[in-house]
Order: sequence, then C-alpha cells, then structure tokens
Amino acid sequence: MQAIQSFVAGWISTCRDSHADCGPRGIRSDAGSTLPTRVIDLESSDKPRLFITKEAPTDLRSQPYTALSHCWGAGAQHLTTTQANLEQMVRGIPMEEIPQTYLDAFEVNRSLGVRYIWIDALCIIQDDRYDWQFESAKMCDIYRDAYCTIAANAAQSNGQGCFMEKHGLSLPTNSCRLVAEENGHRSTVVLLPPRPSWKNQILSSPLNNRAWVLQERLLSSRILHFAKDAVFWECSELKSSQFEPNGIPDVKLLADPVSYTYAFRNLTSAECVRSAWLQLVQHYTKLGITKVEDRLPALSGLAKMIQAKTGDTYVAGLWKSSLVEGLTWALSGKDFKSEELHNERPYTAPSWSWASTDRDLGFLTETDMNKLIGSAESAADRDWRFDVEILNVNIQLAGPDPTGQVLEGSITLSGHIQNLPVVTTRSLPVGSTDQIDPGSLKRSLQPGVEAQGSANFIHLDYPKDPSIASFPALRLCHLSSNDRTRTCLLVLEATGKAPDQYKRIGRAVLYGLAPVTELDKRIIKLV
Amino acid sequence: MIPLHSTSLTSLTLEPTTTVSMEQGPEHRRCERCRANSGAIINLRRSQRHGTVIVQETFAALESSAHKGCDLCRLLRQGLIYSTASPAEYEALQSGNQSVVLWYSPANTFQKGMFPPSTRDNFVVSCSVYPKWHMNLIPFHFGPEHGGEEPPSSSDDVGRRSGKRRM
Repeated sequence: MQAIQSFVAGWISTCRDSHADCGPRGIRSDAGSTLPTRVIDLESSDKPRLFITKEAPTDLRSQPYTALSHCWGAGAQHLTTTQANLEQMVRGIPMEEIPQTYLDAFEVNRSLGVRYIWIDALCIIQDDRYDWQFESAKMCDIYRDAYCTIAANAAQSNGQGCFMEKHGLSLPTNSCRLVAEENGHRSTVVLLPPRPSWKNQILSSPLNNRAWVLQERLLSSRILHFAKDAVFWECSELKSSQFEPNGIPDVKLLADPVSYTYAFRNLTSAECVRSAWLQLVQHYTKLGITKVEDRLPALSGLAKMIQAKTGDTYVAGLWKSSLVEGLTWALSGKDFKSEELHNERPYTAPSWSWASTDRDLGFLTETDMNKLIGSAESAADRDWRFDVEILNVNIQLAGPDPTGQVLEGSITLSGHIQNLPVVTTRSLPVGSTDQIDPGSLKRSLQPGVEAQGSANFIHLDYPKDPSIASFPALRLCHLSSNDRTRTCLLVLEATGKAPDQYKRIGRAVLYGLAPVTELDKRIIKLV
Repeated sequence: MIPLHSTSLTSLTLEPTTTVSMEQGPEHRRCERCRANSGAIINLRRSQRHGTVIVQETFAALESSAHKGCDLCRLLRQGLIYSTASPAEYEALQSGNQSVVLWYSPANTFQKGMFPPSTRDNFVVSCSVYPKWHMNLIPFHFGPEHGGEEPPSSSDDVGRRSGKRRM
C-alpha cells in the first residue's frame, strides 16, 4: 500500500477538489452523508467492530466511510453477520476469522484516513430476509455516498486479498533493442515494456464478471481498483493507473462496455435512458450470479437512481415508457440448466421479463432492425411502429424494495395474435436433462409463410414438444421500408388458467407479414 | 537449457539481403532463441497479415529464459503476465502448453475488440490458455535506444486523456 499511497492521495485530492461531477453537486448527494445502517468501525486496529449507526450520537452519524466491492467466492465458508452473532460482531469481530480481502481493505481505509467501511457480508444480517431486502435496496445510496469504493478486482474469493503478488515486476524489465541491416541500410526497433491495461486488468477481472458488481461500479462516485498487477482509479471524470497516473487515454477505454452507462448519471429523460438501459441489461445478463433470485435485486440500486432522475415506472427489470422494446429480447446463451428444463427454477419474474431467465440475451431495437433491413434507403424512408398498445401493467413485489424481487406481474395489452406454423429443422431433445444445443431451439417457419426468400426464425426460450405444429404469436413492432417489412413477434403459450392469458415462450422475427388493422386486435394478458 | 550470450556484437543472416545485428552491453543478455528470432521479429512489420514468430514453445520456457536473464523474454513475459486478470489465470498460463507467439498489429486492429485499444501500431505477444487467449500490446519505436528504463510517450498518450471527460 505504501508504494501506491502517493498516487492514491493525488487522485483523491484531485477528485475532491476539482471534479464537479464527483462532488456534492454531482453523483454524491452530500460529502458528509449519513452512515449506512451498519458499518465496520476501524478505530481499534486490533478489534474492528460492527457499528450500529442509529445507536450512535447524532454527531457521529455523519462520517465518511468506504464501501468494499468484492467476490465472495464459491464454496468457501464466509464470515457473515447473522441474527445469532450480531451482538458478538458489535462487541468485536474476531480477527482470526476475518478474510484477507477485508483485512487488506481495512489497511486501505486507514491509509485513506477513513474510520468506517461498509462490507455487505458484515453489514447486512444475512439470514434475516427482511433486513437483507431492506438493506440491499439501499445499495444506490451506500455506494454513491461512500467516500471511495475499494474494489478487490483480482480476487476470486475473499481469502485472496487486494494486494496480489506482482509477478510482472519480479524481474527487472527494460526496453529491448533490435537492429537489422538490409542492403546496407540499418534500422532499429526498440520494444518497450508493456503496461497493465484497463481491458485486461479491469474489464476481464473476476470481480467485473459478477452481476452484483455492475451496479456497485456504476453507482460508486470513486473507485480504487486493486487489480492483479496495478492499482487503477476510476471516477466520473478520470480513469488512471499507477502506470498512467494522470489519466488513461480515452482510446484505451473504448472496449469498456460499462463506460457508456455512465451516461445514466447525466440523463434526465426516460427517452434518453431507453437504449442505454437495454444495452446495460444485455451486458448484465452475461455476468455471473450465484442465486437466480438476485437477478432483479442486483440491479435494483441502479434502477432506483434512474427512477429518481426520470420519474419512469420500473416493471420487473423494464421501464414502462419503453416497455414494448423491452419485450423484444431473445436468448443467446448456450447452456440450459436442468432446473430450467424441468421447470424447477425459482420464480424470478414474469415470463415477458428478461429477468425470468438465467441466460444472456439481446434486445431488438429500432437500430438493430435498421441494420437487419439493410442500408438501401435512408432511415427517413423507414417507418418504425409499435403494433401493441399497453393498457395496464401490474407488478406484485416480494418485499419492501420497489425495484427488487417480484412475486408476479402481468401486462394487459391490445394487439394482434396470429398462428405461426413451424417446421422443426432439428430434433428437439425434449425430456433431456442438460446441455441442449441452442441451435435445436431455432425453428424455421414453413415455406408458405416465408416471404422474399428470407430466413424467418422463431427463437424459443425453452425446448418445446417437436410435434407442435404452430404457436400463437403477438405482433410487437415492425420496421417497414419501401419494399419490405420486418416484424418482431412474441411467441406465446396459453396458460390455460384464464381466457386470453398467455405466457411468453420465445421471439420471432419475420419478413413480409401483411399489415393488420385495429379490427384484428384483441385484448390479452401476459404473465 | 538455452545458453545466454553477453557478447558485444552478434550477427545473423536472415535472407540473402538482410543481416540482423544486436549490439549488447554487458548488462544486456539475450537467449539464443531470441537472438535467432530477432530478425524475423523486425520483419513482422513488413510481413503480410498473420505473420507470426514463435518466441518460445511454452510460457514456462519463456519464464525460464527470463529468469536466466534474457531481456526480450523478460519483456514478453511481463506483457503476458499483465494480460492475466487473476492469480488463477497466471497459474493456468504457467502450466499451459501452447506456444508464446509474437505478431504485428496495425493501429486499427483494436476495432475488432481483441486487444487493449491503441491508436498506434504495436507488436502483440500472445499465448492461448483455453478458454482464454492471453495477449498484450508491446509498444515500440524506431531509432536510438531510450535508456532502457522508462518508455517514452506513445502516440496514445498524446491524444485526449480521460481527465475532464463527460460520458
């Protein structure tokens, strides 16, 4: 820590003193904001303890604190606060049980001169369902208002710590000079020592491949990334490393899929957020998550921040103002888990929400449709239309978090339902247990439905009985140009529980469907 | 075992018209394999696409040579280590059996999303360890040696920095 202390001090002071976006007028609500419900008090170096904020005198409740962003790690025994050990943790956390990542974070805290640190495993009572829901719902405030977030990027588990052995520096490395002579002409090439890059050390790090960490990163006002071979700094206005302490050139950050989402911080309208949110979800669904039930809670803090800025209504992972586009997702993940196939997966969201699945996916936006339809005409010659009218959205929450877990949800809408006849291009291994080729879920439409010789595909979310000859489908939206139309449909299955009640089972994108009129529409409920 | 040399001048004939020489002071040592590869590495700049040089048969061989003092193996080893994001990835690299390869990457290659982006031409050191292909950019410049310690500013550094960026 000593080796990089001067860099860290410089970044902190620059950010604090001259970054408007990072200070009280920017993302952080208040430099002296109130401590979270519980924090770790590091006043005693040999006996950190859990500090209950509400039990402290008022003047002690507004103190700077840091927050830890870390991988718990699979399979290991984790030190957590529970209902049983809460009192003991308040008296003092047993040092011998504290994992290395926490100990390293404590050291960083002390070097920053900050007394308190928030760590999810210790500051949320992990076996108290209500406390977990209540506290995890406050992630937005906790990370936003932290003086700094300490990110243990390289550690795959809490036992590995923040400070990795720097193998890259274990041998002195200098420039290498090569000289060539050709036809009497002599040329020299000097190879220069490489540097740890943002792409390799931050984006590919074990930490940033975890779903929970996405919002922790996006909500934080300042982050100290403890990567494998270097310490990196990230705030709204500066990204740097100990190798490039004055700032990493923008070009090196282009590969960062999260960079664009910083746009959320400056966006105020629902319209501006629309496409950025879909991109964010696409990225989010590629990240690992241990409990599928956390699919919505792990994004809840970010949803709250956007809700506060736009006033839009959050519905099971989507926004009411752009709900139709939000329904256009199709799965792109390769593996099925057996619990998905056997319908044993815990309920996480209504079937129309991306949060109802465990796999990565992509949305079909107007931009994507434009690409699909080709570039012969200008965008102005194209007509992008929604074919459904949302009449009502109903969400039943599972707990106190308005952007967290849901128990059930439905959309009542007016739209056109049609039957899509299908032929199966490959046998569907229904009843199989594991690892089904996603290609087997692509079913081509019967030739009679195809138009213009284009490939029409139905992408089913889960394997279905191959003997099914047709599926009902709801037209969602279409893009038409002078000579062709491309239509996005939701593939449905009647629930059998109520008339006109359906659940989503896939998505289809078709060429050349004939237009429909208002008379063709009917009212259905999607659950 | 790869013998190391500390002679002051070594020459190697590559093609009928090309001769590579390496002036080496007593502090610069280079393994025989790298000495043999040097001309080919320089020629990567002129080669057609996909030209490569196998630097070492495995990362372990690269590490071994680096520990024995080869300056080029040390530099390339550092590049590959910096391409790993976790101790587990580094361990996998150490035990992998794939070749360490060097090739030339024109500036616009980064658009394919394979490398850490750069606006300048680079060499790329790479080694595949399933399921990941480790690679890192090796910046370079022409002309006289730069003291060997601190790399000079690259063209990336001249461009707009991330300071005061509005995203």
